Amino acid sequence: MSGAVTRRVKFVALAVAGAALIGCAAPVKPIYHWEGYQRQLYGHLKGEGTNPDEQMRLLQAHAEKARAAGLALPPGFRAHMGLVSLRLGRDAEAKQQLEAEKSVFPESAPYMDFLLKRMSQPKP
Amino acid sequence: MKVQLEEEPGIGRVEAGVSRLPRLVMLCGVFASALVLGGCATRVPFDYTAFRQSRPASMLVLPPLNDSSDVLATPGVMAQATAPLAEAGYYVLPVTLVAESFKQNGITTSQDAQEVSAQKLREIFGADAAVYLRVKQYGTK
Repeated sequence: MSGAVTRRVKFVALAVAGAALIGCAAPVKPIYHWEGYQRQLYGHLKGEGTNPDEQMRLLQAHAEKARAAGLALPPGFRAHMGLVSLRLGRDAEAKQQLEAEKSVFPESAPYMDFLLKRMSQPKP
Repeated sequence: MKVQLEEEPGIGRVEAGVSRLPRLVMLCGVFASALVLGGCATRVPFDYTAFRQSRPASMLVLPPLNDSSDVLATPGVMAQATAPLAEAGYYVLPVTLVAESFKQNGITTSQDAQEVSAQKLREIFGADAAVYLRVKQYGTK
């Protein structure tokens, strides 16, 4: 009889411990490939003098790695690349990258259109 | 505890030595459930009703206000803000371009950016929701 109780107790204790452990953690596979990208955003926002050539090289390497691993590029990645292209004076590429952002993430359309419209205006 | 014991016929008759166990288990249970609840749960509940009802798909992260002593808190937090929101399923507008757009429109501080009317933000960025952040502490302590 006491064996049954012990077994039951053990079961309950295990179940409770299990619940406590899985309660929060549950590691989920990320949707997007982030690695290092946020550091680049940080550098850019900080206005640090990382030159656009170097930035573009890093972004391209990031995109290549994501493609090889079959991972998605984060929201804003293509548009950010467009901004760097713009800094490099590669306007046509920048436009393509903004269009790419728009087609992958349709939610970005209003803002991308706003930017594209500005770009097509003659510069003062 | 009594109810639990009666559920299973026969268990009610166990000796004193064993009946201590359930008490221990209950203590464990209370402790564990506190752990389960305390682990995830949070501080002050915020009323998200309106937010949920509007079912936003895209978010505009505005330049964070900074109460900390470190001037790098604003770019630091803005650079990190996209990932958790995007991983939660939202589209997050590209923060560098957003910062650029503000600058080009003569809005150079986070304070000014966060004071732009929702209507104007909607007009330019077309996001469903705006994220207003304020950094209270930044860096290691």
